[in-house]
Amino acid sequence: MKQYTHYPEKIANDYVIYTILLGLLALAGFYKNGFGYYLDNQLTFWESLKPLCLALSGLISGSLVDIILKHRLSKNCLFGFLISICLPYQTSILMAFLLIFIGLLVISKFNITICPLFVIELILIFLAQGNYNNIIESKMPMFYKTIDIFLGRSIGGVGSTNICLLIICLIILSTRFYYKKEIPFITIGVYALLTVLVAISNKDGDLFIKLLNSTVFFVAIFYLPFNDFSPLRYSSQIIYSIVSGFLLFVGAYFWHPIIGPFIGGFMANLVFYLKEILSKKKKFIASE
Amino acid sequence: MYNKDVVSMKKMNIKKDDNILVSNNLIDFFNPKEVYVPLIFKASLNVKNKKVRKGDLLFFNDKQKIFSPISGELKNIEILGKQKYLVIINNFKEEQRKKINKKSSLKKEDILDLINKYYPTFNLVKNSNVLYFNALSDDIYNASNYFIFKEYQDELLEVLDFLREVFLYDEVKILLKENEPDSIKIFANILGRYPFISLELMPNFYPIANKVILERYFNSSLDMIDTYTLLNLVFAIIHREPLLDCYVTVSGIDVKPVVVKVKKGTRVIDVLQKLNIDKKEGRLNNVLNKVESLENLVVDENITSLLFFPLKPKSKACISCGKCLRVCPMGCEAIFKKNMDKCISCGLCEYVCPSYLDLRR
Repeated sequence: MKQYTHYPEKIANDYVIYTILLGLLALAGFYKNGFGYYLDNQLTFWESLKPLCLALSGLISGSLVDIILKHRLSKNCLFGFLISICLPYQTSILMAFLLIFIGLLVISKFNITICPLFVIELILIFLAQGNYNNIIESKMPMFYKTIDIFLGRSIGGVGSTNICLLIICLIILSTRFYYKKEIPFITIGVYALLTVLVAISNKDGDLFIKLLNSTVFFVAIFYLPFNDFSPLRYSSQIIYSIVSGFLLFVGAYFWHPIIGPFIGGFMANLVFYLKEILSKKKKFIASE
Repeated sequence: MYNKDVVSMKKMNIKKDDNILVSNNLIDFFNPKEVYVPLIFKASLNVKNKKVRKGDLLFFNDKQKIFSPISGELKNIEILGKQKYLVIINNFKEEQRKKINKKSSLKKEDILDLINKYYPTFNLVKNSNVLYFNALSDDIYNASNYFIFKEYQDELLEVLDFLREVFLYDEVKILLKENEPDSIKIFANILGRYPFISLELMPNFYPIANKVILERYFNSSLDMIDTYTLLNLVFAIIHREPLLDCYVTVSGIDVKPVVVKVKKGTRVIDVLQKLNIDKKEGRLNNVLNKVESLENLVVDENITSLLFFPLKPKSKACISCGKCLRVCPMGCEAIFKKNMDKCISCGLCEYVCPSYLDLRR
């Protein structure tokens, strides 16, 4: 340990773990949306590669931004991966690549902290007309059991449907020192509570399907706790999580089960950004 | 009894480099060429001729008495940094003084007289019925306390017992960290002789040795004395002379870790020269402290360790992780520069900061 005396965990390692976990989700999405159908002879090999290429487009464009801006160990490749992994299957790879590249370049260049990832994500979703069905799902109606949803066989982003994997990601990330683990747990808790309460009052039959919303899990685990876009104070983090849980629920329940959570997350980010501006709590950026 | 806030607060430990182990042998450095005695405010000079003996009173004021750490000849007054020092050349052999041992016949007045004579800065205001001896250290590389305990174990406990009798305490508690078996063993072996003295093992978290944190931990103000205060009292009451030596741990990367027993007033660079260490900058007392120049420093009781560890990497932009806010034991908000008047400069915020920002006061 011939180095400066510092807490042994490094934030760079967290980014690597984030990227590996997203990679696992991308592989699961690749199997669900492409390779699985190729093995069933429903798609050609080249067709089956699309979800993987789409997921990787964000990673590559983010890395390119890092290279252009000469950032070492920057978050842009991670941001790119994060955006591309929950894109609709119908998104054009070229469009995703270009928009993520331009978006991240602008964000990095102008140091924009007001929910930038949600903005890029939502633009790409609207460009794809919110069509999350893959080729096979578009051709025939699909019926899912709770276990299918839990194992990621439901409709959703190219790599963000596997709730089982998302829970594993949450457990792994929770062990990391710099990960704000209270945020996903409280957000998902509030979302679940509201869903159960509304389902009971409406006598809804598909409670578990609504509860196991992979996009809510993905946004709560990967987007909301990200240090750059979440509050610093513990008390603010708790309020932020409760507000986020509520807004994710509103988005998913009243808007759209897949696009809604992104809008809810965007709103939560926006509320806290405005609160920070109004309270004029500027960070002291020391000795930079 | 314990404060729930502190008991439940996020407890941090400073990760120690396991390869750095302090040598079992204490090194003596009693013959510096010259020593530097700090001049104190409004002090009267007590010196009649140019030659002084070890332990002679040099000057004093209402609160402090300064004794000569060596036998030697007064040279001149020199300024190191912002402090003026009286320089004494170590140029003649010390005379062996007779050992005085009258501890069995000591009365309360005798003890107070001895304290006033040799350690007038001692001030103990009784607020409770328990006297605490804070034998804790927050510096993970500091082994000075261990050597002090090892060398003066009997006398330390004897003086604690004297203090209990003189200041009418019901009991005395020695605070030690639960992960320091060597120090615990030293005291545990002889505690049987002192029925009113007991060990209290403290959890190992940083900065538990700080008085403010300890008081918050116990949820009350504590009557407490630290290791050097007690050692000064040992010398005043039992040895009948002022404490003139200090224990300094020298440790770090590319340095052989040792504890040096050195005369007060010796220049730090002379100590390093003796140990063949060619460094002019280092950290004092705690590995989390900032690096400072050692050139104008003179050994005194405030210097317990000299640490040589790599410099902090260049600061980067804050990533808003908020860990500095979570780990601060005093509730300061360093990143917002808020509540900084409470800062005890423990450095935990900087220890966890992934961007290596200079956060503390």
